[in-house]
Amino acid sequence: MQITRQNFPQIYHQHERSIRSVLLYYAKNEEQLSDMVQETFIKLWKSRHQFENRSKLNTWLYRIAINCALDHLRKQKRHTNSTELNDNIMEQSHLEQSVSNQQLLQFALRSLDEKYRQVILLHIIEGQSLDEIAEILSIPQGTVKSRLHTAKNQLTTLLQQHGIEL
Amino acid sequence: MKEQTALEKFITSNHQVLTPPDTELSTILQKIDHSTPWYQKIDFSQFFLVPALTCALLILLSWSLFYSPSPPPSAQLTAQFVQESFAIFEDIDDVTI
Repeated sequence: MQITRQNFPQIYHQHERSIRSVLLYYAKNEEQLSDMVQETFIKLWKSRHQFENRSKLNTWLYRIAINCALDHLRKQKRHTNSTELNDNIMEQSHLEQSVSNQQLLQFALRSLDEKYRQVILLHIIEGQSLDEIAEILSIPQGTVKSRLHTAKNQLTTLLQQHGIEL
Repeated sequence: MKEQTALEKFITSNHQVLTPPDTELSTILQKIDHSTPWYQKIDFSQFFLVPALTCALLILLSWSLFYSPSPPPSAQLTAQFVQESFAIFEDIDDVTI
């Protein structure tokens, strides 16, 4: 499949939702989320000659999105400490006393180490196979498997600590 | 299909799906157009159609202007016949009755 100016809107409509779902757990707010989605698609356009159908388009797009998210995390870390940010979210939640499961999931996923967060998002939310995740993250399939195992354990513990029965 | 674990069920049922802002795609397309150099924006398949058509038109025009075909043999014969006939009448005029 060739990426052209003509079929670009169609590519956007096909993949925007998945990309937004992954980037949601990296962005501070909706504005930043939209910026990251835009950046991902612009990078896709700029790298369209490198794509050349070497992988599936969504694999290529996830890779760009993850790199984009990492760039943003690096920039954020220069300004604030990420754990500090999560602590703030939880402090707020405790004050409100009625933290929704959606918020709790966001907090828990954001609390995970980056390498564990990636595999959970791609596997459970996006339904990518271990094979595909290995290709997206350029790591061996065995590593994906072990990361997924650790990620699930950490996430279960975190959620249970906040009253979710799993 | 593999059965979902309790954790997977919790994640999929509480994952928030957000709709994109209305202007997102147009902003992306604008940025793409802005970042693309002019020579990459040309659609060559259509671009070559214009000079090709112009050339064809010019060839046709020059052919009709400069190419003067010789008259067909029948027209030549008619012209010769008319000329000779007039010559005869001219001769008759000279005769005094």
